[in-house]
Amino acid sequence: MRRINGIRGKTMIEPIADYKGRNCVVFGASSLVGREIGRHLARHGVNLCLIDLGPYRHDGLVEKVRESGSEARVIHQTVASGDEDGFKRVVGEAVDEWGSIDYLVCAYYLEDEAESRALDDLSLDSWDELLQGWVMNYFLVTRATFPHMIRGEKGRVVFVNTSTGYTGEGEGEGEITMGGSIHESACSSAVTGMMTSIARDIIPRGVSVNGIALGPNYENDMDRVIWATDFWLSGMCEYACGQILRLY
Amino acid sequence: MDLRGRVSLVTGGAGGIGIKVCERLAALGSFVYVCDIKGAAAVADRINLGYREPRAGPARCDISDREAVEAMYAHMSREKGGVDILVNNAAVYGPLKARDFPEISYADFLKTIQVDLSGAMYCTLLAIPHMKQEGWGRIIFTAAPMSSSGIPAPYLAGKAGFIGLTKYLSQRFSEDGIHTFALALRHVDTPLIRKVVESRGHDPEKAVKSLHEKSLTGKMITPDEIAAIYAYFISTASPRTSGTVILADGGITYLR
Repeated sequence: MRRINGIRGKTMIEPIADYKGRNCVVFGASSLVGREIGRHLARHGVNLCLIDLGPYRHDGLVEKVRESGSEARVIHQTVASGDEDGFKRVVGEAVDEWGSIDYLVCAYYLEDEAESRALDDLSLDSWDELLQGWVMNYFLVTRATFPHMIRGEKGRVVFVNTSTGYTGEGEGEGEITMGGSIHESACSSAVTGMMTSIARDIIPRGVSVNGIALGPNYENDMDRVIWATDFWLSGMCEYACGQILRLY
Repeated sequence: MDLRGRVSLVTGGAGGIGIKVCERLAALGSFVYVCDIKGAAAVADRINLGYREPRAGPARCDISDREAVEAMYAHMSREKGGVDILVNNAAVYGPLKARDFPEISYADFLKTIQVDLSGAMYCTLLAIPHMKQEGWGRIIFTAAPMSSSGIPAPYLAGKAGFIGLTKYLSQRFSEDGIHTFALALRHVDTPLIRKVVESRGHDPEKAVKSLHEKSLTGKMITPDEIAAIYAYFISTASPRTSGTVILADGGITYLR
């Protein structure tokens, strides 16, 4: 157990991964990262509101998340990309059922992107699609969730993006691993910029926003993704404002 | 430094930084398309007064409008063959009121990021084929640090997005002779910064003085200085400088 003075003078007593009875929204629930984080949180007793964009919905997700055998309540909803009212409605339904939202995890469908997009794709159509699907929907789901967090003056938000936003496409500058795309690199760093600004705006209201930048081989590195998620969702992150854990 | 025969496109060309960049590139011999939503023709005319042959032309365009950008490129391609030097400089700050999260509306967020990031992306994607064909190209970004306090989310998302773009383009297209460079700025002594501080209820002159003092250098960077830096990177032949992102904020970021 840790006991330190939190913001606004509140005492914070919260060990890492003490999640029982908490409520979490996971956007991009059927993505690899969303699914693994969902299963991890469910195993620790977190009630989950899983949100997917229409085309990405994977059948049987709730059952997969519940495989852990926990008693966490899990609901799964689909929202159309860019549907502001849809995000509000889905999050509102979870709040009606549970009373509050403690966590939001935004995990876009990066593996699907990597499979479907050619590296040298220079089309304007795919740029419009990715900007909307990734950056704009992160904005919308955060905006839909945030009012419910400030009611309790507490909440933690995690934005997932990729290291390509810092390096181009490799693990370090100048390296080429054929991992990203021009669209991914721009969106990823855009997510970082958006996150740092939002984090500053809302930390005075008790909500912290931080991020995880996935490396090129993150599919084989899910332990570290879970580790980073635990770090940001736990009480340890209360003073971190718009910080990114880069997993490469 | 000789840019004769090179065609430039400067977005936000009629703004504080853009005018100086256009003037500088024209002075170095490039033909410059001044791209802006208003004021482009006036800037181009003023530049041309100093030369026997036209060195500048207007490219009036709302770069958040994809079809308008495509039409602009088609026009430039017909007139001059294509763009060799692209300066992605245009930006809007977003709404002057209700700009913070969560007050900022989705519509305002979308409009701002469409200009600041998508506009640059459209211009860049449409410039690359010609640059690859020529085996020479320069793409410059007027950017911002990924983390800056007090900057609205869509503006910062757009400007920070340039950093990933700069890195990626450099790695992918250096062998094609296309080099990239980004200058990450905080405060610049332009009319826009006066407008922003005024919208926050501050006396513009006092606020600008305070911003000068805030910098460890004692003064904000000026559009002339930025134009000189861009010209330097545009003229550099070595591909080893490509992908460079320079934080030019007078030490402000590290003070916080």
